Amino acid sequence: MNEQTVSAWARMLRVELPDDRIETVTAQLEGQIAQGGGLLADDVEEIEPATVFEPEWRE
Amino acid sequence: MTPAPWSLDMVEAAELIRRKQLKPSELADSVLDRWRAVEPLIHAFVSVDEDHVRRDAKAQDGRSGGPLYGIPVAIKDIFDVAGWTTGCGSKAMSDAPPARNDSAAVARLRAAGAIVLGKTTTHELACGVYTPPTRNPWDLERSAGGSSGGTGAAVAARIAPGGIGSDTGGSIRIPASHCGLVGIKPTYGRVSRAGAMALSWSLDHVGTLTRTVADGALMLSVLAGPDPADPTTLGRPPAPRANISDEGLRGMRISVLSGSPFDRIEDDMSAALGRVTAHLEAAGAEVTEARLPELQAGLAAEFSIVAAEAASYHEARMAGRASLIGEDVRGLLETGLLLPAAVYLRAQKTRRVIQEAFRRLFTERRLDAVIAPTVPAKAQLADQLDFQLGGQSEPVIQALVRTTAPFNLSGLPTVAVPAGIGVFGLPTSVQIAARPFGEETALRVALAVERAAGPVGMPDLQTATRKMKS
Repeated sequence: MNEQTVSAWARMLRVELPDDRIETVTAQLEGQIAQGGGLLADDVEEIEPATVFEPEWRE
Repeated sequence: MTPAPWSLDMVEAAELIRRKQLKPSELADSVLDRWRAVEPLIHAFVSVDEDHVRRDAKAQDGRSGGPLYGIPVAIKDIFDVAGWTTGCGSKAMSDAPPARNDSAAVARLRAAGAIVLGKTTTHELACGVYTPPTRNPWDLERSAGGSSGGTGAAVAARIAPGGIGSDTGGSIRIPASHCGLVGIKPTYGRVSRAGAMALSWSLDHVGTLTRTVADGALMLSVLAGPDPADPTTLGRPPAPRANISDEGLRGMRISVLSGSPFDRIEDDMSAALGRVTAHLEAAGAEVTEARLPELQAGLAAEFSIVAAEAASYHEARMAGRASLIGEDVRGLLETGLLLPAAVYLRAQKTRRVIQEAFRRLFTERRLDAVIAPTVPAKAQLADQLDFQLGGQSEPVIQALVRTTAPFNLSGLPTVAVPAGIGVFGLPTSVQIAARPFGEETALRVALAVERAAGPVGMPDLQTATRKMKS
């Protein structure tokens, strides 16, 4: 990951990211992705994520 | 000598009002006097409407009402209060129109007779552990913690007997620890989040900051309950009772959590946990030690979930007003907007693993509660960025959140309770977590800790001022 990648990624997603923010965000994003959200993919292979959709209508 | 009304705990004041020995207007006048005297030192409030407070209190004189009748409460400025702007500590929201309705939590407090004293400061967008410009009443050079730092400082300084905050990764329990208070983060789904700004939908919890366990239990009994506007609250067990069992701890099984992420803590916190453990055993509990290696992944999961959900919540705001958001929070939101969905979902899978680890521990050992240090260190200086813990430098936010986040990820009810004053003259704290919707159990253990550890007392603001000047 580098600043050019992040800049291009932000443009594709239409996220406004001024030039003076790219260095900071690149470092933070690199850190977040390196952490991978916690456990390794192999360790959560059979786990359903903690996201729930309720089909009932809200009144 | 009769104590000044502002110094009364919530239960004491409510009882005096019920017996007609104290008028709501007398309490309000006294609290406003205290606010005027102390606020310039601690900067806990965004706004206080004196006229409203006096008028509401006067209207209650000579009458009777709910369990919080005539009690002034502090409201973190992420909760809507009808007619007030919800600023969320951010310039990006400073021109928001006044709220049309009360948030669910505020409406429940008012229905119980409470009077809104004012809106308290929050770390910007409820996302941080400093809450500038608020200072800690125990030492004015130190932070009151965050993000519910304003409510924490206001309650510790005896301006308000209690207040509400939100806890996404420790934002109630961190100020509770820093300010010597009882902080309740209920089970996820116990208290409605409707009408409160979200930080992270799946991790946000609404709870209380008070000076005593009994006060916290009283507030929680009022706040808890179903609300169609927040579906996570529907179909839950009955709300916890206001009166906590005083039967002691005989027969209770409690595990002290050790190892990562509860290692590398200051000596004061370690000593406090040791004292509390001895108290629990003396009170009849069977105390064991437990390690949950799965919790090591908690901090990464917490930060990924918060980044993604907060970025989504604030996406429209970021499109035009990002420059108005402070550097630390803006970076998190920008990162969240770019974070791959696979990372977010891996974090939510990690959360399931952590939830299951707690379930297994409680089930296999037939536990009633677990106990851990609330945070690893005493309150940081207002400009302190790192702690030195276990011979390592660690960012303050990372250190404070690593011990609190496991209970947001698991959704378990958790009570932070003071565990005495440390050698630096600052409060120490432990947190007690129980099974889902087991708030009464957690509060029962917290009550035993409170009685054994004794009151931390009132911060001496003159000393705190002198410390700052020197």
